[in-house]
Formats: sequence, structure tokens, C-alpha cells
Amino acid sequence: MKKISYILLIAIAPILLNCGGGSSTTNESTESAASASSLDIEKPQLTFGFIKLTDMAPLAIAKELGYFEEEGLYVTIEAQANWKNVLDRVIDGQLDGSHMLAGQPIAAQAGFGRQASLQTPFSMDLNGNGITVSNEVWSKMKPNVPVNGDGKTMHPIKADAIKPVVNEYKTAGKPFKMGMVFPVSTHNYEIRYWLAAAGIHPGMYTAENIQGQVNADVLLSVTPPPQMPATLEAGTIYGYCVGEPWNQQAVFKGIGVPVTTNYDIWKNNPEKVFVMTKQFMDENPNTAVAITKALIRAGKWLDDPTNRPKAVGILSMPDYVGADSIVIANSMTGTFEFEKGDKRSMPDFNVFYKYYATYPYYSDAIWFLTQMRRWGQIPESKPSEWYHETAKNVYRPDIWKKAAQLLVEEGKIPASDIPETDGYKPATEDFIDGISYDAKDPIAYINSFEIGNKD
Amino acid sequence: MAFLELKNVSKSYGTGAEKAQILRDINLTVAEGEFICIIGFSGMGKTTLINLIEGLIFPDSGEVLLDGKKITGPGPDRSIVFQNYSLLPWLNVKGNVGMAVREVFPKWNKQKVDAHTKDYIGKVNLTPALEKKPAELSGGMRQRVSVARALSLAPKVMLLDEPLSALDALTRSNLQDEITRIWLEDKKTVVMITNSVDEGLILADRIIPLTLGPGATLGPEFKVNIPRPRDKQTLDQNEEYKRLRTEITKYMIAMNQEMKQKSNVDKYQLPSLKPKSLKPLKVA
Amino acid sequence: MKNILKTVGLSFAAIIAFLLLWTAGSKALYNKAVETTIEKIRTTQSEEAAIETKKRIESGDPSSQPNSLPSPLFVWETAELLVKDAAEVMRDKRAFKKKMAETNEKLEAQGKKSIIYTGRPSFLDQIITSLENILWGVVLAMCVSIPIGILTGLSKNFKTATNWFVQVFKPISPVVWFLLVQMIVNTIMTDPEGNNAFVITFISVGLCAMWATLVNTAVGVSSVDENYLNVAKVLRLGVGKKIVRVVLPAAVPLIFTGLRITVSVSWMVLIAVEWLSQSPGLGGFVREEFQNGSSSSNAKIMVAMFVIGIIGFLLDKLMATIQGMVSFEDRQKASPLTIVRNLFVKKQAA
Repeated sequence: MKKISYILLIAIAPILLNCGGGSSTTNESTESAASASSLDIEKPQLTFGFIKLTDMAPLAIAKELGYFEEEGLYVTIEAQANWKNVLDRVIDGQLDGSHMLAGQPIAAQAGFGRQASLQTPFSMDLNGNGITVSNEVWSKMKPNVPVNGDGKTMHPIKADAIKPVVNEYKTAGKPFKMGMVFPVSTHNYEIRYWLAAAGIHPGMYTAENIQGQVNADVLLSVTPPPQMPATLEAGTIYGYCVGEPWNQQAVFKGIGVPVTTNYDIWKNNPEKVFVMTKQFMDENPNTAVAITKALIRAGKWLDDPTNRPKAVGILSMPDYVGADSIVIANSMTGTFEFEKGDKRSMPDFNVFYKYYATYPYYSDAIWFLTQMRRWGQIPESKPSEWYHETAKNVYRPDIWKKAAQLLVEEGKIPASDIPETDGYKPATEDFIDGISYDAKDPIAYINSFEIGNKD
Repeated sequence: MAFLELKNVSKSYGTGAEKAQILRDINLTVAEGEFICIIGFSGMGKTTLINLIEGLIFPDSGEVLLDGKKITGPGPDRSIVFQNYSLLPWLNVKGNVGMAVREVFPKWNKQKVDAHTKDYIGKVNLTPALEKKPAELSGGMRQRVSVARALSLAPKVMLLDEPLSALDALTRSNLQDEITRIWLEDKKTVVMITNSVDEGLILADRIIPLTLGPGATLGPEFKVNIPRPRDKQTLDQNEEYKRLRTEITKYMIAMNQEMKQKSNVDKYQLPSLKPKSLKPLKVA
Repeated sequence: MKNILKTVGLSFAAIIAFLLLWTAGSKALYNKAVETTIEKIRTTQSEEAAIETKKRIESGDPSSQPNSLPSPLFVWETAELLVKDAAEVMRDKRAFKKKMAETNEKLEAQGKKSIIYTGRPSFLDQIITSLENILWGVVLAMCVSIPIGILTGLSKNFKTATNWFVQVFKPISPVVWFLLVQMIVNTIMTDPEGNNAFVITFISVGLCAMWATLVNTAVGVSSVDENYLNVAKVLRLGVGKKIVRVVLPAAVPLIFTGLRITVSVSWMVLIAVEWLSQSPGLGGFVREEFQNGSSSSNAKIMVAMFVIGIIGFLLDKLMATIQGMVSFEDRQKASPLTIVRNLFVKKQAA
């Protein structure tokens, strides 16, 4: 018995020693990462979550380029399994903050799903999603897509092209199933918008049917982003709406064809946000500003096209997005491949900084609220003021402005990068169906749709 | 005066149709310092008898008295040596004996327990094996540990339940000598069960056969008037020894045959059939 | 000696055969996957697209390779990469510690928590985390199942009362245990600093794996050799003493047999539970690589598979050795040699 314990001890000892770090013999320069920041950081050790999608890039960049450390923040970044998990872990405080779907803090505030006070001072990116269908669906859809002079399909491809296919499945008694990543995800609203714009009903949410499949022509269901290609290949779904790299992955593996991007559905639409709890922001105001500062700098760095290849290299590391670099590069470096070989230039497919992308606009929050109302996730009609108030409870441009101001003072960004705004973007018609959206009047916007709830 | 007394003791197991009488009307009187051997065929209730005296089980009728008092359960005044040693395999020799000593003399301090334990292990010549575990010992050595354990409790009566039956002849013979030697030291009252007539003749003051079951009872006793020490080398020339051996053996064989006849009649009723032909088949 | 040589030789031959089969299999699967992909594109898209794809795959471009079974060679290379990476992370950790030494001193002086390493865990870290998880899981399983097992074995009434419970809960799958434990732990542990994933993981593993020990303890306690009980009776031991001095020691071999099963079961379910609970560890590693879906992901998963298998094997051997030491029948002293020998020679049942 004694002998055994000796052996165990001897066997384990080196492992234990290594764990402790031991005394290092490396003579790396002890560069002082001492913060030039004037902020008094309340909580220097932080853990952030993310889902394996390229739009988590600002987090990876802020960490890898040392922006966090320069602000006196020591950040661990952990991949999470799915969006529900992300939401739960932020609310429960296991994560100090996370890469999140813009709809998540809004829904938490509006009372759809788990309720909590979550806030965002930083919008992570614009665009970046795509809708992919299986090869079989594409082959049936393609004849309906108009072709231009040199034989290439004309973009944007509207859902009118898929309508006959959906009808064909319907008459054959097969439900047409598509995947999206979360009930309150941008993807859900985008694929719904795209389908509904062509008169295909994506189904309503009701108190009884929280799957959102009432009256549906297309049955939408939740699949975690990294599992989209595998689920498509297995034939469980016929198409999906997801962020990158999971559309390009389908092209590379030859299992599906991306048909449109959310850039075409709504030009420069907001996508992910960086979310913390209200409690965390209240208790650690300086930390919140410092985080925002580091993220703004990361966004700026990312939107310099010459930095994109390096960003791709960082993202392809297994502890970040982890997909092959060539797959990530396809969407990160200004191009997007639709059908195999049909690679198109899309310089604005991933916007991290341009167009004041990082500023948390109230109007963005209100758009999500209108869509929640449209599809019944918000069951009863609400007055216009409610939309504005809810948006202001979630989006925190004040923190963003404070952070940006400090960066301007430090000479890290030009003053012109701070928008002159009351938080509302001007009315726009940059949608696939050309309907005008004015955030100042959400009720009128809701009523302008043919399919969906009306107030 | 009777030291250990069994009065009209009967014992059955089971109930109803399943009921099997093991012992019936057992009457036995043992004087203090006497060495008694109960001899019988296996499966006839010898162990039941010992367990009754030890107090592990109780008679259906009749009573068992020690020093005039009714036995109500096991006690340190009787110690038992089991046929299969019953040593605790996770304790070494010292542990097995010591544990018993500690239990029976709870007031003793550690040194005293230790000395007593070693003393009795020494009595059975096992001092070199003090630290060994039962699995490391031979059968004979194990039984010696068991004997040491029983003796160390300073009992009034030693009960030996076929302690030597599982051993080879040579070891058995050695242990017989050893038991005699130890017994002579302080002349404890001993009731020993055995299946060997010779063993009884070497060890006992009296040999009492147990008749065949079901419902076994004690047969006529045989007094062994051979002076001790009984030297095995010369014993088979001893007239008394020869006489007793023949008598007891005869008695046992007669009992056995009676039993066989009884059971044969009961069990086998052969049909009156004759084979048709025993001629070998011709090979074509 | 001859036997050992024979065992080693035969094992070696089997390994070679396995590797050859694996190589051939992975090649065949790869070819089939390529063919299927190209054929699919040819029928659903166009001839040109198919040719384009074929070219791309043939060019060796890693990202367009189908996700089929990786070859042994590739898995080996990946394993080497993981080892290198572990060394790198270790250096990185040391550097971070050095870099932070000053800051941490200041923080500690102010009575604040010092900054800990923020980088990614290496493969080695994952292995250690998994071993920690399983250690706690087994300790928990022991703490729960042995006392309950003893009660079950001793008291007929207790057994009758709890038997249905054991029968119903025993076959529940790790996934369900995980969900149940998660519900409870997340409600109780609201401290954000608390390591819920770890707690959930080891409790789920413990609950999943404890049944073998429970049942074995109960059987061990209830079926103590009559002879040992006689000793207790003859010495007139009280109930408490009887249990401590006789019943428990007598049940030890069976309890350890149960523990050995518990350890193998824990290791088996650990990976799945880590996957679900977001805990770091080998299960987390496999989950992450599954999600990554990069060209080396499958190979990394295979490396993890072998590491899991080998560690499981070693754990079982360790438990078998301990089991041998507590068994009464087999009284070979456990020497280093026996441990080494046990690795190669399957022990004969006593």
C-alpha cells in the first residue's frame, strides 16, 4: 500500500509541478502592460463568452492584440454551446459579459423568454449572415432565378424563387423545414422577413405555440450555428439562416448553396451586441467603459482591410472560431461564395466599425421589438412609447460615448468617428421589399407588413 | 456434580411438511475437567449439538445448563473452535487472537492484551507467524490460531467442532498431540466433535456416538481408560485401545448398515423387467 | 518472462493489424466521401461545378476535404501538434505569471484577488481537469453509495423501502442526470464566482456511477460469510462493533469491486457530461473540436479518443491493483513489479 502511494506520488509529481507553473527559465521581457488607462478598474479579471461565429472577432482581437490588457483588463474568452446557454450564464453571473444576439437583451427586457436586465454599450458588427439551402432545393429553385448577361444569377435572390419549391413540398405533404439559430436571433427575423416578403408565411408565435409555427408555410426550428451544416447534410432541414463561417462551410463541403445574405435583406443591419447585466454595469462602471474602449479599438482594427488576413489567422485558432482559415477568409476578406465558383465581392459583408457600426442605436433595438411584435413573440399591442423606453433600458450609448471620448483624447480614434445622433438612424428603405422603416414610429412600421400582427 | 448438562434436548429445523428433526432427547452430563468426544457421521447434527451448547441456537425442548445455569446465548465462558477455522481474513494472527482478547477482557490495557495474546499464540507454537494473515498460513496453522483464540479467552468449556477434519493426516496427528499437551496444562472441560474413532481414543475421556438421523440422539457411551500420555507409537498394542476401537467401530458400522437397508427399501423399487435380447447384431 | 514476451508480441501484432486496417479503411472512406460530394454537385448543380470541386479537393486544400475518418498518420501528427501546443501554453503561462508578478503583488497588498492566467487551456490541462472531475465524482459516489449500501445490506426494511428507488434510478442515462443536477445546482449555487460547471459535472458523474458501488456494498454487507458472523456472535459483539469489526472489513473486497466498476463508468460518462455542462476537460475539448469542424478537428477528436481510452485503461488497472490488494484470497504483495505486470497480464480470477 505504501509502495503504491509512492509510485503514484512520483508519477503525479511532475504534473503537479507543471501545473503550478514552477520557476520559469524563459527570459521573456517583462513588458509592462501597465494600463495607460486613467480609469480605476473595479474588476480586472473577467470572463467573456462567445459562440463560434466570425462576428465574435472584436473579442478575439481585443484580447490577442492586448487591447484589453492595455485597459488593465485580464480577460478569459470561453466558447459556449448555444445561445440559451450564453444568456443563462450571463444572467447567472458566470460570464461577466458575452457576444450575444441583438435580440437577446431586448427580449429579456421585453419579457419574451427569460427575463432579466441586460444591457449593451457596444454593437459588435453589421451584416454577416446568410441563408443557405440544400443542393436539392437549390437545383429546384435555380430555374426561377433570373439570370444576367453572362449567365450568372441575378442578386438579390428573393424568396419568390423558393416559393414554388415550398408549395411542391406542401402538396406532397412534406413540411418544408428550415433552421435558424434562436427564437430571438437576427437570423430568425431575417429569414422570416425574406420569406414573408415573398408571401411565404413563416408562422406565428402564440402563447400556446412557442415554436412559432402557427399557420406556417415553412417550419422554422432552432439549431446551434456550428451544427447547421451537419443538420442540413443529414436532411433534417432543407435550409438555414446563420452567421459565418457556416454558410461558406456548406459551399466548401459541397452540401448546400448560400442564396442570399442579410446585407441584401436589410442593408447594414445590426447583428451581434456585447452584453453585460445592468447590475454589472452599475457596479463596475469604469470596467464597462474600459471594455467598450478595447472593443471599439478592436472594431477599428478589424475594418482596416489590410488587417483582415491576420484576423482570419486569429479566428481560425481552435479556441476561437476554429474553422479552417480558408473558410473564414472567404467571408472576412471582402468576398462571399454563393454557388461553387460564384464568388462575389461583398466588401460590406462583415462590418465591424464603418458606418458607426459599434454605436448602439436605439433605432436598431426598436426594429427588433417591431419584429417581435410582428411575429407574436410580444403577444399584446404596446404603445409607441413602450418601444422607445424598452430600447433605452437596453442600449447604453452613454457608455459608448464615454469610451469613444476617452479614445479620442488618447488619440486612438479621430473625433469624427463619434456620430452626431440622438440615437435614431434616419428612416430607411434599404430592405429587400423596399418597405420604409422609421424607428420614431414603430406602430406604423408594424402595420405596414402584409403578413404578421397589426396594432 | 454435573458441570455441563443437556437435558432432553430436541431440535428441529423448518416447519410443517418441511420440518426436519435433527436432534431428539439428547441427555448428556459432563464433569468439570472432562474431555468428551462426540463421534458421528457427517450431516447428522453434530454441529447443531455444539451450537446448542455454545448458545448460537436454542433447543425446541429440553435445556442446556452450565454450572447449573441455563445457557441464554454465547458467552466467554465457552469458547468454540470451528471446523473451518473462522478466522477473519483481514486480520493477521495477532489481530485475530487479540481482537477476541480485547472483547472478553475489556478492562485490560494494551500491554496486557498484547502479552496475553502473544502468550497464547506461543502456546500453539505460532510466534514466528505473528504478523501473517490467514491466507498466508497452511490449514493446520490456521486451526492452531483458532485454538489459540479459543484458549486465550480463558473459557470454562472448550467446544471443538471437528477442528481437525479438514486437515491432512500428518498435520492432524501433530495437532492431536498439541491439543493433548495444551489440555493437560490446565485440564479444561472439552467437548469435541469428531468423525474419527482413533482421534477420540487418543484424546478423550469418554466417547459418545451420535446415532443416525433424522432425529439423532446419543448412543451408549464408551469410557476410555487409557492412561495419558497416550503414545501413538505404542497405542495400537494396547489391549484396551484395541478393544474399544473394535467395539466402537462395530457399533458405528452396524448403525450405518441398518440405515442403508432402511433407505434402500424406501428408495429403490426396481421394476421386474428383462432385456429382450442381448445378442449382438450381425454385421451385414 | 516468456509469457510477458508473448503478451507483448501478440499485442504488438494486433496493433499493427489494427493500424493497417485503419489506414485502409480511412482511405476507402475518404474516396467514397469525395466521390459522393462530387456526384452530388454534378447532379444538383453542374458539371463545371463538379470539376471545380474535384480540382479543389485534389489540390489538397485542407478546407474542402470531406470530414471522413482521418488516417493514423494524420492523427499521429495531430497528437504531436497537441503536445507541442501544450508546451507552448505552459511557456505562455509562465510568461504571464512573470509578467503579472508585480501587478499581483500590488493587488494582494490591497487585499484584492490576484490575476490568474487568461489564456486557453492546453490539451494537457484538459486531461488534468478531467482527472480532477472524475476524482471528485468518484469521491462523491463513494460518500453516497457506501453508507447507503451498508444500510441496504444491513436492514431488510431499509432495503424494501429503497429498492424501487435504486431500481428506477440506476438505469437513468448520464444526460438526464446532468439535466437534473443542473436544475438543482443552478438554483442553489447563485454565487457567480462559483464554479457551477465543475460542480454539476462531478455530481452528475458521481450519481451516474455510484450504483455499482451501492449494489456491491449492499451485497457485500448482506452476504458476509456465516463463519465471520459466528466470530462476532461468539465474542458477543454489539451491533456497532459487529459492523465495524466484522461486516465492513468482510465486505471490503466487494466494495472495491464495485468501486472499480464505478471508476470505469465515471470515466465513460465523464466525457458526455463535460460536453453538456460546458465544463473544460476532455469532453469540452471534443465538443469544441466537433463544433470547429476544421480539417484537423476529426483527427484531434481521434487523439482525444485514444487518450480517453488509454487513461480509462490505466484507471481500471489501478483499481484492479487496489482491488487485488484488498482481496483476502490473493495475497501477493503489491510491488512495483506487480503493477507493471498487471498492465500486461490479465489477472486470473481468484
